[in-house]
Order: sequence, then C-alpha cells, then structure tokens
Amino acid sequence: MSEFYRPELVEALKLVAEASDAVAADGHQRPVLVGGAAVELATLGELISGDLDIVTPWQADFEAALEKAGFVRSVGPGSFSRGFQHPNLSVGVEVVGSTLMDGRGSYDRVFLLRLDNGRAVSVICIEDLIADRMAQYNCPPSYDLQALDQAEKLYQLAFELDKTYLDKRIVEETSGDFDLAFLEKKAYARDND
Amino acid sequence: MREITIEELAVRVSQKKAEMGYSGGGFVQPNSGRRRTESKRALLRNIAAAAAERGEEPPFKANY
Repeated sequence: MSEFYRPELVEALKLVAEASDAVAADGHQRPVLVGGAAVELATLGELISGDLDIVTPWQADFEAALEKAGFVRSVGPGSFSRGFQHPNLSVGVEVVGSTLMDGRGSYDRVFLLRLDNGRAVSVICIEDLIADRMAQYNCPPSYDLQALDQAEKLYQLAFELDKTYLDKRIVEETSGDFDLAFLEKKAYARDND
Repeated sequence: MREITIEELAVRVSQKKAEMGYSGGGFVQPNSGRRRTESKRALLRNIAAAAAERGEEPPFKANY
C-alpha cells in the first residue's frame, strides 16, 4: 500500500480497478478517473475528495461491476444521488459523464495507474485536469479562486507537462479568456509570495 | 498507454513538492462546492451520514 495516500482512497481505487477490469473484459475502453480524486493523486493527498468521479460510456456495465466489487447505490432521506457508496469506506463513486470532458479531453494521454495489487485505474492526464480547473475558475462575474489555486498547484507539482497541449486546452476550456501564460504568471507570483 | 505505479507517482510528486518548497499540508485550497450538482451533494451527505453511524468523521470537508 502507498504510504503517501490515505488507505481509504487506495482501497477505493482497487475496487474501481476491479470494476474497470470487468468493463475492459467485455472489450470496452476502460473507464477514466477524473475530478477531485485525480487532483488528490496529483497533489499527494493535499486535496481530499469525497468520491471518485468516473467517465465511461458503459455506465450500466461499470455500475453493475461496481456493485459486485462491494459498492451500493447511495440512498439517503429525501435526496437523490446517482452515485454509489461503500458500506465500510467513507468514499463514493459516481459516473459523471460518458466522454472525457465532453469529448474535448484526450484519451491518448490518459495514463494507467498501477496499484500494488497489480490492478490498474485509468486516470485523466494532468494537462486536461489543469484545464478542467481553469474552466471551473472561469465563471464570471464571480471567478472561482479555489479552482484557480488548484490549477496553479497542479501546474507546480506536475513532473511531466506538454506545455503546447496544456496551453491549447486552457484556451479551449476557457473559450479563449485564459491561456498558459496567465496560469504561469499566477503560479510564479504565488511562488514568490 | 503510459503507465506509472502509485508508488512512482507518489515519489515524483513528492520530489516536485520539495522542489517547490511545500512542506506539510494545507497548501491546496479545497473545492468551493459552487459547481457541485445536487446528486453530488446528496452522495456526500449520505457518505457523511453513514460515517456518523459508524462513529467516524468523514475524511473530506465539503459544503453540501
């Protein structure tokens, strides 16, 4: 088990890997981890996510496999959730879409995260993850400063970056309002605070 | 497809963290929760309620 990540996250990743294997065994593309849990991995657990967001067009297959892996549909008083939760782990899983960033994310850049039990989870690339946070930031008139902070930290902690692709993706996700130069300026400014 | 082990990922990010001068925790701001869907809010509420039933605190801090 990784000593750097909280055990509940690692355990949940193993179960999602098991469900992903079931989807792949049917000849489908592996579901992809996106969102807060991907940020948690990329920041070494600095951001703690309550659930694992998954993108897959094979939602029914994945969710059936998820139930076999031990998750149950999340049910609460007076509220509806599309997600699943684990009876013993304080962690959920939710399919949030059928395509990566509504078709704009790159499946070619998705990476396979190999866990210590040999199973693996597909994870969104760091460039798309940063671009996603920039899109969340770009909500005028009240810009989401927490999302910008996350984008800056992801950028600072990224150990492999395709800057050309990252710039293109930030521009795409913010409809041209922001680019990599803006993010770099912010990240370096904070760095020198 | 590119592949990395979870241990390798942790080591590489840990090195970058040290390079950037970050030590300890709390240097990444949590989600504002402004864009959270109703489904997500319900899921987090349900997870927190289940944790409370087990006498545990949920590990995440979220506005739901």
